[in-house]
Amino acid sequence: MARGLVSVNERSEDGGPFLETVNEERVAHVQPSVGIVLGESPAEQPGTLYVTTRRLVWLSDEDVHKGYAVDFLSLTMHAISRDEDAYPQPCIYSQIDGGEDEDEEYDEDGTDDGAEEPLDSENHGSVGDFSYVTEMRLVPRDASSLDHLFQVLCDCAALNPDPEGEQEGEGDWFFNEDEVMSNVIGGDRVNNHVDLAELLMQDPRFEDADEEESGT
Amino acid sequence: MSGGAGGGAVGSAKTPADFLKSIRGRPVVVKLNSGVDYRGILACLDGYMNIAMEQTEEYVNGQLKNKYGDAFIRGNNVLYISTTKRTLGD
Repeated sequence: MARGLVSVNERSEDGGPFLETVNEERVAHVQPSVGIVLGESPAEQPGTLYVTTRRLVWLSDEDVHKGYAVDFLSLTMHAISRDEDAYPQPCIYSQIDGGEDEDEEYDEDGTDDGAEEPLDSENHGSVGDFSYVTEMRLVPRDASSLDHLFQVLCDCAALNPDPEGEQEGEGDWFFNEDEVMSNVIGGDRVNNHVDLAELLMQDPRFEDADEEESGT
Repeated sequence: MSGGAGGGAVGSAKTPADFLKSIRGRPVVVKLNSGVDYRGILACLDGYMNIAMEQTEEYVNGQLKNKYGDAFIRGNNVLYISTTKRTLGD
């Protein structure tokens, strides 16, 4: 389920993020010297970007307790932005789905969503709910790395389909060839014959029932 | 074949999968559940409707909001993909 952006306050001994071994999370790519921009806030830098098979994790190079992570399930899109009007440096622009209705202002239990969540040691010290952040930019010092970074994000995003898809076939198309050809689902209309009487449903069995009966 | 979505090919069995194969490299409009439009050249897409496109423009309420180079759109947010005629550089 989309969780949105969360803060990451602890890191492993090698300086990288704790990986969720239950999900077989692996680091796919490490990009040093990356700034992160959350929404309209100023860039936070320098930091190191870890692209894992499950998440994007940015860890500050200066503050070992500062970092952010967003899972690919929450990343609705990402793109290369070279438009200087949008942002002065070339960067990866992304949109984040916090998993809540945008009109909702309250947690599921009805309380105000303004307060941060308490420290939860089971999440390796992850605190803070940044699910209100809907836009994020990753600004590498080396702009030539953008194309590769974009592709890594595409590859890792593709590893994370929704766990309970609305479609049962996990992306398979459902269609009946006969239905397509007979115009039920937008096929060739030329040979389709419409029976107008049938369409008008003159059958008296479908007339409204009389309301003169008492009791029911 | 015209730029309209579906319907135009007389006599050929066009399945949705055929349609998606035929529109690679073409200008498309991708509409998300949120109502945002992305217009660009379709690079590729997969069975989850994850979409990669180039020369992407983002429209919100019909107004151009952002321009990107390559863009990747997560499939579960996609409402539809449609081909479109583009007057610029087509």
